Amino acid sequence: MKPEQVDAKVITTLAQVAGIEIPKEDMEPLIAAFKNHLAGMEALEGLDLEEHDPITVFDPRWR
Amino acid sequence: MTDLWRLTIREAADGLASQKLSSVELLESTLQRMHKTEPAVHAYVTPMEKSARREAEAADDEIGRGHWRGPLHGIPIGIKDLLLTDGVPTQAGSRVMEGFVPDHDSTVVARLKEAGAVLVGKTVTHEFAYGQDVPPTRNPWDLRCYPGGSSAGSGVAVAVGSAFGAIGTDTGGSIRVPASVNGVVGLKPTFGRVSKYGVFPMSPSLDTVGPLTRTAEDCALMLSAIAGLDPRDPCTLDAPVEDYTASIKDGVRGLRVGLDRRFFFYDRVSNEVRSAAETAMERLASLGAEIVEVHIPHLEFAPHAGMAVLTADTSEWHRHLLRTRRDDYTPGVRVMLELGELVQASQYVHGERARAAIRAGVRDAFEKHRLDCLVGPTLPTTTMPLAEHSTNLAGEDGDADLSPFLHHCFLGNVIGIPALSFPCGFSDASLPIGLQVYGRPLTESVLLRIAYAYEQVSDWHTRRPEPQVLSRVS
Repeated sequence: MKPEQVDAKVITTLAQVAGIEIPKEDMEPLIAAFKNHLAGMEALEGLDLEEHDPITVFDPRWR
Repeated sequence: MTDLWRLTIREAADGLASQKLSSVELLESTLQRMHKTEPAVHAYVTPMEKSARREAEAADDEIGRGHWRGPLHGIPIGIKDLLLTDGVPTQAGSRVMEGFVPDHDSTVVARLKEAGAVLVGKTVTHEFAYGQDVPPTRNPWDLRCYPGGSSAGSGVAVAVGSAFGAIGTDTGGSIRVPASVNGVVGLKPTFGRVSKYGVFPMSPSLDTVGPLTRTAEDCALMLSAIAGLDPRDPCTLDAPVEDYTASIKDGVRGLRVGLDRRFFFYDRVSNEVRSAAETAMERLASLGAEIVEVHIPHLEFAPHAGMAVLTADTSEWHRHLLRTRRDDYTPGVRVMLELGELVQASQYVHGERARAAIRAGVRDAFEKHRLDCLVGPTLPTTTMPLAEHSTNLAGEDGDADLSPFLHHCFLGNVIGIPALSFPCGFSDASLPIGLQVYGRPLTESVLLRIAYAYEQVSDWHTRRPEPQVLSRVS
């Protein structure tokens, strides 16, 4: 999804999936924040990540 | 002597070890300073005068019996209100935690107690360290201005002298930003160098705990006391803890200092900051450091990679509280927590993959150019009036332009390397400017050495906010 496509309906749908209610007064700043998040993710498309594994480590030892 | 609060930790420690000074004297001077400055700067949320007096008396008694524990014994220290402190309210700057009194210490607090430090109080933090609210703390150099965050109280307490040193936390710059805007030294250690057990978390892979002090040597003393493996924090590194003061006087001759102008002197860096940082780098060069111009790919992606991880991580910890105490959060923090709930898992992992690429770029540059560190301004500008400062992590509407205060700092958290901010000048408006050095993992001693060498040829770190400035509005 493109940042400019984000609106209250999109946020409401995603929030329902997440299981949270968005107060009315949060909707506008949250739309802006989510647009910005998507723009950040778009920016990351500029990276060549083919040779890199995510920085996540699973340690199978029992502690 | 009434101005004992002006001493460095090293000077005070020497006085205590030789019994020329007492911890009670140091504490009383510190408390006097606290009483004088607090009405204006509000660095503390919970002063701990009573217990501090008991601890100072105990320190004097122990030292008098010949048991000096080391350089922090009897030294008044402030603790960010994000670290659990046994029997002391710990509220993370939030109504959500109102009334919470932990029954045990975070590892860092426990280590400070073992070192004999006197805890003078819990310092103000932005709510859960998110930096989205406006806490009561004010910048002592100009009370209209942003005090930095999220370790705002720690930076201000050290600057005004209501603590000899303080503990902060840093997930995207929260130690280095207050260090820079308050004119003190702040160290974000290598990820895992210092335990984060017992600290309200934001992100398990970005959070760090570290010291704020008035000098590099004091920073080294505090790091030596709090660093090290902790079985209760699986992220801590099993690497020996150095005496971080051991090589601090070795100078900078022969050190190779990398400078990526494109990233660290980008167009939002103010002329005053640019000029102060350039002059400081010339000073380091005159001391024998070699400034090496480099171009490191991908640095500008660090904030975006970091935010994808940070927002989701933080929201995960607050998952239950957001659903049960939603209205107790301040609106800005609540929106960020809601945002984290909307981040897709694949976006999160993509952020983690981007971190790997950014880390590889930095590592390759260090290897290729045989660098000991990277250098640049800590922040693009000095502090600014709160009315003009945006702490909005969400950025402008859809343009992916995050707060410029993240630009230089977030990199250290995203790839886990150590970073040190120290004073390198003042603006025409008498506001402090910080220089930041980034090192290879676990090379805190190199960074401290650079700051120490610079302090020997400058006096920025000795300047303290003047009391009349404080009293004018108090």
